[in-house]
Amino acid sequence: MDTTIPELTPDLARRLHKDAEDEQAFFVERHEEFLKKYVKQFVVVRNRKVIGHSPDLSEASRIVERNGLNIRDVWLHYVPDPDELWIL
Amino acid sequence: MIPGFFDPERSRPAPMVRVDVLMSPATNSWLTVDFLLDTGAGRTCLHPRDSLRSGLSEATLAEPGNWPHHQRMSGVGGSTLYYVTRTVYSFATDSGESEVIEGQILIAQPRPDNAGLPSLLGWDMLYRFEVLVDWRSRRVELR
Repeated sequence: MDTTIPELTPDLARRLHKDAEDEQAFFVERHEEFLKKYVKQFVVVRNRKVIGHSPDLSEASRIVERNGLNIRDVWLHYVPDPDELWIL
Repeated sequence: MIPGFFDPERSRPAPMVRVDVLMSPATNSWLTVDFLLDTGAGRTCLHPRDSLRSGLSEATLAEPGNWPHHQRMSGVGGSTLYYVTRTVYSFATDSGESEVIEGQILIAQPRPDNAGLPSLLGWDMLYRFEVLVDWRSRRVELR
């Protein structure tokens, strides 16, 4: 394993946050559509295209592997029931 | 000031803050996590979707023997095993600076009932800030 730990430079922080913002915007834009299709499921997105989905997180992570991808290459997003209540 | 947001995918208020974390030596790269602010959580914890996003494998997360330090935490949903890991937190401020805090994070052993839970920013981090959560003005801030 490469044990070199990257410094969180301003440029790296910007890129990480840009990706998080893009992911959030993607799912907010498609919120109504995805609620109908994928509520309470994990959705795997690569280059803004859904490549798989599952209510089971293990299965969703296997979709990443089956496509020959690394988890860092995709967005692995949970589509929550918007009215779900937590007591954590 | 560290700005947060209410989760736009939920109709009920879910105050979140986006934080960069480095869990060393468990992983060797930075991960951006949207944490739910949880004043009921004593410790900050990472739930399975975010753990997998960090590059940790399911097999590594499933087996307690892979982790030198464990802690069993109780919640209203029952008791879960967590792996205690040294972590650096980097909070982005509205002025473009970073506020860096060294601490720990608890990584949950995956179970079907915690797979969809958000990661939680608990009191081990929250006590350091003035916490503003105002649903009426849609403001979430750590000061």
